[in-house]
Amino acid sequence: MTEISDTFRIPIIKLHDKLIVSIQMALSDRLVMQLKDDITTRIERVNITGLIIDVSGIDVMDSYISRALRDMGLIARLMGVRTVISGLDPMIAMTLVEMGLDLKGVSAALNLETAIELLDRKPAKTRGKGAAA
Amino acid sequence: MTTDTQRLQTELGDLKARLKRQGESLEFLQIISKTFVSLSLNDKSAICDTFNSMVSSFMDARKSATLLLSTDGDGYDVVSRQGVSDPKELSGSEANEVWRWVISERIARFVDGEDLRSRSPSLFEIFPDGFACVPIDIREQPVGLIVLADKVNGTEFSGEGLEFMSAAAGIVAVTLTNAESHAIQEGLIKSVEQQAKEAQRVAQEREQALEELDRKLEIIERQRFAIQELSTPVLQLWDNVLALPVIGVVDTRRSAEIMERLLAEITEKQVRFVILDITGVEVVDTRTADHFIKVIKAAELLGSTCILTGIRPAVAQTLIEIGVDLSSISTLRNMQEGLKECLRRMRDLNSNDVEEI
Repeated sequence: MTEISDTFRIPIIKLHDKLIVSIQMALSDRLVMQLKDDITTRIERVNITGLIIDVSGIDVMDSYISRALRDMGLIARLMGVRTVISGLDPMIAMTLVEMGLDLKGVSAALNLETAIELLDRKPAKTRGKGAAA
Repeated sequence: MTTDTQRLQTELGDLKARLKRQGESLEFLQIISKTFVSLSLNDKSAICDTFNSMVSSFMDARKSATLLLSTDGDGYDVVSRQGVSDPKELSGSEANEVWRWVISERIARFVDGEDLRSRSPSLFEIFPDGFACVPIDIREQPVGLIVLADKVNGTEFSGEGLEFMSAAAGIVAVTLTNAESHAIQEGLIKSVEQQAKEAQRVAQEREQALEELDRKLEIIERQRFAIQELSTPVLQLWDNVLALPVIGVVDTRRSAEIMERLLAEITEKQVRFVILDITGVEVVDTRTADHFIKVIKAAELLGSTCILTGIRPAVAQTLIEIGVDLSSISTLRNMQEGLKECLRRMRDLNSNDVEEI
């Protein structure tokens, strides 16, 4: 694994009324906390309605990271922003289910494209029963 | 005076001759021992043949025979003979009586013609001048005897001659014992070798059986794999709709495989809807239900919506009886309904309506 400097941050891109975070590396605890801080600051500062976290670059996800992702979704919702996670690896999905963890309050999408489509629809409800299970 | 001198001289000559004879017999005994040691004979008849010819030649006997106790212990068999035309004459019941009698004496002795005639006329015919004999003892047990008769120069068997025969009998007894031990040893070696061979054969058979078993196991494994491949097809039913008909029993292993295949297909084809059809599942318990719920949740984590169809009446009853909560999962009557629902939702998506599950 390549060494990443202490000051490195995961880039957060604003696109129209959405924030797009693309995680393309293994997350360290520091990066997760940094990302949480960065996202909340950006949501506060910029006027957006949706947050997309693309995790297609993560091939290992432990309970800490999955909980952090869920927390980010819940935090964002509290601030009036819907969160969609896209590109989850099938193996990770299996592991999460086996561990009994699910990403409550966070919608899932196959890829970035469908995530954008999902957010573009009328934001009346979060995903109902399916995600609240 | 002269008669005394003559007598003494004759005695001296006699003694010299006897001494010489003694020396010769000692030498001959040595030769016999050496012969047996160097020949290392292991066959009883070969030993007796050698022995018989050597002793008879030393004793200048025209007729000689070596008899050994027969295997059933009833009588004595002629193992080697010289100058006796018919061996049967020596092993008849009458002859055996005589042998038993002389052997019971346990010493080398001479049986004269008269004595023999009274005991056995048939033997007397063969040995009209009587015979000298000595028993062969192995571990205090008489196992046979040597008979010598009809000396070349017509003289009788002297005491020295009989002593020589005793000594020679001792040597042949040792040799026979050795031969016996050797035979036993050979037998043991052979049986050990045979056992080793047997063991090797058994081991080989087992190995073959194991190989056979391995092959069968491999075939079974392949067939199992094939059956699984066949029993969980993932079908692309429509644009953005996958169907997964599940048939048979769903255990942990199979559910893991189903999940793996389904999730791989979802990510590969990027489909939004999955219809999990369990018409072919006759029996469902809590564990099976849990497997289905996990598959559905995992698919939803990827961003795909999962619909469960084809729950049989009996299965539905069981699920409620055992208290499985499927409320978080949308369930429909059959695959047709499932497909309809998927198409409806897709239309909703395209018309940009609110998603409702």
